[in-house]
Amino acid sequence: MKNYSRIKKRLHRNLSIGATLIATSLVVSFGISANAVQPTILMGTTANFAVLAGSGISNTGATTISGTSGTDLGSSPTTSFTGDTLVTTTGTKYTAPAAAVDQAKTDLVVAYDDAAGRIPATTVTGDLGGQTLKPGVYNSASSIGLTGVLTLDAENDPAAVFIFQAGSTLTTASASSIALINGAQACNVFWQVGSSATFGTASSFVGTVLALTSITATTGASFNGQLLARNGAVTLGTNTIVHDACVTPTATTTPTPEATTVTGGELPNTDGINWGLPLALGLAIAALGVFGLLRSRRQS
Amino acid sequence: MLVIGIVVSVSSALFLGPLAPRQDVAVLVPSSSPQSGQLEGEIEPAVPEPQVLYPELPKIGDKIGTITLPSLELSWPIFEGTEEAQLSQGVGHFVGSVLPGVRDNSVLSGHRSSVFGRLGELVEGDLIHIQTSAGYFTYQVREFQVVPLTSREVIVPRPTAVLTITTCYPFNAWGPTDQAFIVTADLISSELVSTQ
Repeated sequence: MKNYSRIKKRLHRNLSIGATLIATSLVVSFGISANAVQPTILMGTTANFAVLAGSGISNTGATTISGTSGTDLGSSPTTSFTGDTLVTTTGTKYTAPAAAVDQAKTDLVVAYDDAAGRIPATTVTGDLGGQTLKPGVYNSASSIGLTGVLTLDAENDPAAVFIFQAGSTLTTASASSIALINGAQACNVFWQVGSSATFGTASSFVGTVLALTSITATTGASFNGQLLARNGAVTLGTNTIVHDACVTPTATTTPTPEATTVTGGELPNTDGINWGLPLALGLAIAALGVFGLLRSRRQS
Repeated sequence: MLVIGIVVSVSSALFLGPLAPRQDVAVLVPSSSPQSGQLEGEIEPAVPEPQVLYPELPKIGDKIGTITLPSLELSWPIFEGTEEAQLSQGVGHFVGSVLPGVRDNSVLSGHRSSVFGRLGELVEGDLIHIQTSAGYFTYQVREFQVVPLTSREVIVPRPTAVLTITTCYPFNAWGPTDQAFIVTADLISSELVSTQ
């Protein structure tokens, strides 16, 4: 078992090195380009997890985890998992030391370092809200924020990879969201966070979050991806996490993108009653009644 | 006359609503679909549907399908658009949202005075069936909210396939209301129409 683990680790490392070499050769061949083709980040056994932490998981509220990829939750080396009974998942909730969690944490370190080392990167600053970004690597020397909607455009390439590197924190505002268009897939979006990530109330986030320290998901935040905290804790509070594997379109279909739901749409008026006409009619009849009453009194 | 005027005013306001008839129908549910009362511990999240469900988007006014609320024994046609022209005929699909069955937030609206007057009788866990040209979709009610009509936090993108139903609130209020009743349901199964 140990040998198997070691071989697997070595294979994984070699694959990562291979991927990096491919990336490097692409850069050398085609020159420095902001949108240079990026191979995906190899996640190893972290793919089995929707939530992975280094110093424990804390959950308050009904959190639901599902998806076509891994839906396990675990933490290593600190295995504490409070509020685990409130979590509904199709996977495993690890509440005690387990080799699978240890291995996933080892693989997380490899994946984190891979994401952090990707070049060439386009420099971004401040808030990403309102922008439409094409595949590539985006780097902020300090924090990355998200208010409103960030749109990721895969340009009809379902394998297109988006990598975001934040020097310090990643913070999303309440009700912020990420829209995937033209074939972009959540499985190909990665967020390498130099310190901690915090997700606002009712925000909808997409991608694999690889945080060096901790991850905090506030009430109602939903995710299509993974929450992976290398050293710190993952804090959950009534969240929905979907972790889906990548989908490879079949050659016979030529999908056209579905329309997406707008952000902040105005609620339709469903009162259904035009109050003006009946009220005017009623008031007119009532006025006639008062007039008739006064007139009959005057006559009497 | 005074009394007649008041009576006419109130009663006409109450009954001059949308003319769409409320239908009490026998609910037909495919045998493979989960039934109410069988849910606990048996429902697994639906497998996300990657392919395009609707090759062509409907035009305003097109009938796009049928919504069935088995626990209330109600079924209504769904039309594209949420203007009075559509809401007076049944349920309207908000054009700025994805169609039923698609991953994201699909929004349906209806009058409280007709199609959705009994929406408050739904309970968490109830099923909602929607049949469209793409297939037969089953949603499960997750939560209820009452929000201001001006809220912009209901019609927003969602990472999963969610159905949002809106109607005005309170249900039996006289006169215009300034609140909306929101039902949120998650897609739990999809039976797609074969394109082979």
